[in-house]
Amino acid sequence: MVLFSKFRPLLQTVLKPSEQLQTIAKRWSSGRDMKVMISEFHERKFFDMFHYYFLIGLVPTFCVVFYANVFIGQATLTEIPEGYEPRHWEYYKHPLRRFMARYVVQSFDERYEISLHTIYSRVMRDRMKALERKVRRLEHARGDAKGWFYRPVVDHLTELEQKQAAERSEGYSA
Amino acid sequence: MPEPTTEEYVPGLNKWSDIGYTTLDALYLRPVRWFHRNFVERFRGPAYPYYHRKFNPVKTIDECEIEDQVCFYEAEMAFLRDRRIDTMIVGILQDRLSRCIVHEGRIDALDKCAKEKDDLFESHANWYQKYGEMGTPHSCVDAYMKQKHHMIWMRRHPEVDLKGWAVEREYERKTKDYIKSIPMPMEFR
Repeated sequence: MVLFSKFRPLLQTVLKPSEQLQTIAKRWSSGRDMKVMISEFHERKFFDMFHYYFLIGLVPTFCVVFYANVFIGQATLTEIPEGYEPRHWEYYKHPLRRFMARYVVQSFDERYEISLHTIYSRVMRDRMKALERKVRRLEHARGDAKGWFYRPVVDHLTELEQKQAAERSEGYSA
Repeated sequence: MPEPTTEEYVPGLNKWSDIGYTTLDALYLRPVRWFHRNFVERFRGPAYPYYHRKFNPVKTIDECEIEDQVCFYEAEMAFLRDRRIDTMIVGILQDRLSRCIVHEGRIDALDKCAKEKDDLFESHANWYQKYGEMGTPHSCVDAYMKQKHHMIWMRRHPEVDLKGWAVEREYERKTKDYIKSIPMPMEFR
């Protein structure tokens, strides 16, 4: 990016004015050419913004990574001692990976157990639904039980009308 | 990684390799080693352990009860884990062979890398027999059925050579004869 500014003299050859736009004898003395150049403002602005936003993320990241690699260091592989159950983040080597495993990401074993539980509960739910379907099927086919086909439906509007009719018959209050 | 890597460079075999190595040495290795000795080893905190994950043995697909979806899932996960391990094993053996070839040279490798080549051939064949040619995707049930059909086929055709060593040896012999049959000076072979 620094080298872009070295290309400026090349641009000056392209933009020599071929005709004089103004003929002011006083101003246009011999040997003095007005060099029309492209504005540097956009270059400077772009590089400023690029560096600003790039480094805003890069500087903290670099510091954190530097600290983790130099001052903390990576873990050493050891045998699991007898009677000790390692925590789920102690299976990773790099300190940042351990951090993520400990505070950010769901544990591997946890995910596995959740999958097992999901499967189990789905299976149980499906079995219960199948049983209900079977019961309804048999009742409908045999038709030997009374009242099981009745589905209680609450009619709120009718209840409201009945209540209001009772109030009207008793007489309005106040 | 279980594979041993040698870091020692042997100077004096090739001038250009020496120049390249000294360049990389001065640009990267020396500064990094200096930094490591003077800063990292001084200021690093205490060492702490990490462990290799151990998976409990679970029922395989042939031991699961009927309609036991939880058991199926666990068997499938175990199958996938074992397949990944076997794939890594084949990869390690392939890596060993290529390192042997690079170390010995293309021509001497025909004689000296026979063990690595045979190991890779065997592991490749076993992998293909266990996990190959079942279609994508496939499950542990498909692998189990493949094993069953393979055993039935072996029982019906006991005379067939499934390992293919005879074919492999024949191919090696033909390759060597062809290379020897080309009339060339020794430096270019």
